[in-house]
Amino acid sequence: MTIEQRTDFINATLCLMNAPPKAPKDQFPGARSRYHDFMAYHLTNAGTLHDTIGLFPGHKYFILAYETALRKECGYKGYHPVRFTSLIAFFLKEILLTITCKSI
Amino acid sequence: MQRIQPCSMVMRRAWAVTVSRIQSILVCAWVVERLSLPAEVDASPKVLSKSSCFIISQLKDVSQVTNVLISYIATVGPGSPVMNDVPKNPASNGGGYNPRCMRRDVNSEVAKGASAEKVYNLITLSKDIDAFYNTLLTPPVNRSDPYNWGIHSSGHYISGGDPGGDPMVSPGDPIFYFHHVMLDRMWWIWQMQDPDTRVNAQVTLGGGANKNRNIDLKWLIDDKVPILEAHDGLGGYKGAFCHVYV
Repeated sequence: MTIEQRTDFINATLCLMNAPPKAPKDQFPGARSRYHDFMAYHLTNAGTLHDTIGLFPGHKYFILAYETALRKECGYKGYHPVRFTSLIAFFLKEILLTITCKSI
Repeated sequence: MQRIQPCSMVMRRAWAVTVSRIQSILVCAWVVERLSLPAEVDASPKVLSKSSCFIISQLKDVSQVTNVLISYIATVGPGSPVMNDVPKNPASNGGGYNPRCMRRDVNSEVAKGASAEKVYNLITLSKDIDAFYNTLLTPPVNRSDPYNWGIHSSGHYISGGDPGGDPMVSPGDPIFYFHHVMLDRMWWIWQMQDPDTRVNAQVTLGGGANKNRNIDLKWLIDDKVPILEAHDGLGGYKGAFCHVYV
């Protein structure tokens, strides 16, 4: 991804984190953003997503739903990037430490 | 992830040809990995920081988003936490407001369970969908392989933590999507080597589940999608699943 594409992706993610949630408020008062909606679904519909028949197609649809939210609700023009897991072992620290936690 | 529409059967065969190219890329990755894996082993998990929220200020080349504070990235859960100090959720269903900062637990030892060699074997040696499923998720115990806990789990626990290491709320760490897009890509590559028999192949392990049900993601997306349509990464559900991984 180019730097511009990366910026677009991060901005779209931040947009999702600031967009209002759609999960039912009575069941998920903790879901405060559209981003949290996906946590809430995964938390309470784990059976549907994780039985042997549903795992692969369920997660394919789940990531499509997330990408669709980035594109339709946050104006993202690109696609969700892929993580090359097989290269992580070598670049582990570089990749994971570029996003750093700091105390507030 | 790239999508091209529409996907015809002719295109499916054309894209199957790209699989051999993708395989050679993986072999390259495997060689690079062999040559460059650091000799020292970081076996002890390390928590990157104590209670904190994450700031995108270290991405020096992304000038427009520096110093953006994301507060309370995780608010629901935990479900099955792997860290012992995650505060309990106030609601019994885990859906209550439980603001906490994301933490990662980076472990290079775990990463070896998702090596290019394992991925290469997964997509080339799995004869049917059950074999593919088992190798990806729950490989049989192999005492000669100390990293044999499955590519899927290894990918999650490379950075684990909270909420990333919690199977119930792992999508709370953005890395979830990068990881699962890659897993979907592996499935796609495996399917494309023999699309006629592999695209509709359903896992037979476990049994009992309705093989024709709809996938209902409720508040996440409008449509309910038939489960087999979501198998078809080259045009299922009126093209919604038409994507080509490169």
